[in-house]
Order: sequence, then structure tokens, then C-alpha cells
Amino acid sequence: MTRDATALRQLVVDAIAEVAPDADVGTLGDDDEIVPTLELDSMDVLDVCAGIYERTGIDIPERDYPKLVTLAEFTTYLTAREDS
Amino acid sequence: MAADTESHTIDFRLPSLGSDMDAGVVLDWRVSPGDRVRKGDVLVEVDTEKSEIEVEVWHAAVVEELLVDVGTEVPVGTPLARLRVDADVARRAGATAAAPASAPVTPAAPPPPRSSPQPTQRPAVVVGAAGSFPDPRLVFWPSPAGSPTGVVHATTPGAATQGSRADRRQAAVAALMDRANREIPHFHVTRRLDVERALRALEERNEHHPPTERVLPAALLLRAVVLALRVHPELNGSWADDAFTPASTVDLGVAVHVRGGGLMTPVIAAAEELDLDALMAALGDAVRRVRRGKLRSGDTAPGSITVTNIGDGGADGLFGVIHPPQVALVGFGRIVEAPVVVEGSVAAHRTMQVTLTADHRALNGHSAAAFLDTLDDLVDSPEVLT
Repeated sequence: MTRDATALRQLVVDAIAEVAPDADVGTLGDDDEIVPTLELDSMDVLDVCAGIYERTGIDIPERDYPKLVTLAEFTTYLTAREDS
Repeated sequence: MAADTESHTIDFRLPSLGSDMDAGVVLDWRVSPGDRVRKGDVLVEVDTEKSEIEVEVWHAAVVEELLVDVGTEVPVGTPLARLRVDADVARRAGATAAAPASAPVTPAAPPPPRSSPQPTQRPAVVVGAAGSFPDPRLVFWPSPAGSPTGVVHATTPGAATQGSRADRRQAAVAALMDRANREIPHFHVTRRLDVERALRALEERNEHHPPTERVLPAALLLRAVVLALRVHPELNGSWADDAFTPASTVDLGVAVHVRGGGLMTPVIAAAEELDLDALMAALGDAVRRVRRGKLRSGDTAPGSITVTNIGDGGADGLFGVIHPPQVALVGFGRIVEAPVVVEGSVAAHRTMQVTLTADHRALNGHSAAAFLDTLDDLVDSPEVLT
């Protein structure tokens, strides 16, 4: 099943909400920097990637972490991975 | 000799899950009568006002009877359930006090009757059994209607006491830091670690694993600390009655920031038995427990040493405060790329400042500095990756 950008964006939001139930993910704008806005630490980031891996099978290598700064960038990245 | 097939029924009592805990509310039973439980299984979830805690059972047993209904507040020491354990287990545990070894039951005299309304809001200090006075800052406020408003922890006269769970947690941290500052003569030794080689090895390793199996630098640093404590056991233990008692295991307290404010220190018990992957899993579990507000009773155990600020955050170094009754605290600063000299040439390596904060009653500068030497060697060794 190829997911579209909207579905992928929701997947990211869900993964973050699962990892950080105490963070206000609803307030996250598409161009906000995810990590500082939600006060995520390195464990949270890893868990988000793990959540995405479990949901989609997309394995995000560590060297691609810098491409995931905002929700918009994260969605773009996953869309490109889905298409390839 | 015939096999001992006898079993005994014991009372599982509500343990004290923190030095200021007086009572807890039963939130959720995780077992039913007839269930078989193993050591470490969660029996019940209890609300201690600062946190929800999953209380683990300490012995393999069969659940016979649940004694307290959900929603009921009971004092520490109240029997929560009846468990049937094997005879030899019962003998070791004591016939009626089957409590987790890590959270000693405080056999308290019952607190003032909650059903009798007090005309004025005078605090009633709860006095424990002979020889065990609880912290005098602990007060129990009966409400005008007679039903308990809950346990309140006053740190200084007039200090904010009631309030949100976060406030109460902060008050508990404040009390601990206050005590540490008063009682412990702190000193600090610090060192810059070159972590370039270690991080590259970790990256290489993680390249071949999906996110679910990766190891964070934090876990590698914890591993290095645990291995270093093997060489320097004088940093791992507790100070009481003017003497140091080394701990037989490394019960690693990990300071975890709570979003919205506050600090919790879950404990990774027997960390020396865990290889790097297992330590990473334990660290992840501990952090996730904090995030969900679901601590386990084992997390509230004192720990034999604490590690804080492992690599995240904006500080180059952390000169911390020891968590009594421990005698040492290891603080790691952020990872900074810096010029280092390697075989006569300057290179850009990732570095990190590590600081050992130590109790000068138990330790001196020489042993503290020696620990840093060992840690420096270990960070670069292949052993830390195993």
C-alpha cells in the first residue's frame, strides 16, 4: 500500500504522540522544529523512528536524521522513501 | 528427605515507595485470584500522589485473594493481597511480611483516624513504629469534612504543599537536594573525554540495525560507567552511620527530565549483568516509564550511584548534587566537536566533559581522579561496545 503525504504526516504525528504522550503534539506546526518545540531528547527521536519503522517498514538511518527537522520535512522524506 | 511441598499464605503489603510515602490509592489490579505470578510481575498499580507506580511482586506465588478495592486509599503496610508461596520462600521472606527487598515495608502505627473530623486544620504528624520516625517534614492534613486530602510534603514552613502531582514531585526533589547539600561535603573532579572513536564505532554498529535495535551514546556511556565501577567499587554504595557500605550490585539511577518540569530517577537494577544491548533496552524502558508516568516499585529503590545529563542538553558539563545515601554522581555534558591533539597533530574530534561529584566523607581526590582515568580508557576500548 502506498501511502500519500497526508497519511504519512498523520503517521509521524501518531508516532510522536505515542512516544511523547506528555507533549502537546497537536500544537506542532508543519514548519516548527520538532525536537525543540516538543522538548524531545535523543531517546524520543530514536523511539519515533522505531515507531515509523514498525508502522511502515521504512528504516531511517542515523545519517538521515538531519532531514527530519520539521513535520513538513519529515513527511517529504517519508514520501520520497515510499515512492522509491 | 522428602521434598518440601508445603506452601504458605502470606500477606503482600503496600511497600513504602519513597521516603515520604505514607499511603497509596489502589488504581488497578493486574492479577486475579488464582493467577500464578513470577518474581517481578506487576501485581497492582498504586497512586502515590507524586506518581503512579506499578508494584512488583517479589516472589513466585499464586494469588489467593485481593484485599483492597480499586479507588481505596490505604496506609503503607496494609495487606493488599494474599499470596500462596512455597514454604522455603515463605521462610526467607518471613511469614507475614512478604515485601519487595528493594522497598522495605515501613511498619507504621496507623495514622490518626481519617473518619474523625478535626475542628481546625492542625497537622498531625504520623509517627511510625518504635525506632522509625518518618521525616518530620511529613504532615498529614485532615480536611474539615473528615476525609483525607492526601499526604502532603512540606519542605519549609509555609512552602507550597498541595497542588499538582508535578508540584509534589518537585517538592520531593527539592527536599532531597536540600538534604544532600546540608549533609554531604561535595567535591568535583572533571575530565574531557575524546568520544570520537566510540561514537564512530557506535554509528558503524547502528548502520546495520533498524531503529528498534540501535544503541544510543547514552547507553554506551552508562556501560562505561558500570565497567569502571568494577575497578572502583568505592564509588558504588551508600553512606550511613559514618561509614560506607559498598553495594553488591550496580543499581544505576538515571536522571530523566520530565517534560513540563521535574526530574525522576528510575533505577536500572543490577546493571553490571547487562551487556550493551540489554542496557540500552533497560534505559529505554526506564525513560519510557517516566514519560508515561508509570514507574515500577523497583524504580523507587535508592540506587547505588546516579548518572545525570547523559549527553543531551545545552551544558558543557554538569557539576551535580549527590542523591543521598549514595556517595557519587556522574554528570556528562553535551557532545562538542573540539580540537584535540592526536600524535602531535590537531584533529577535530567529538568530545564530552564528564564530572564525578563525590562525597568527601567516603572518597578523596585520588580515588575520584583514578575513576576518571579508568572511564577515559574504557570509552575507547572495545569492551564498552559489548
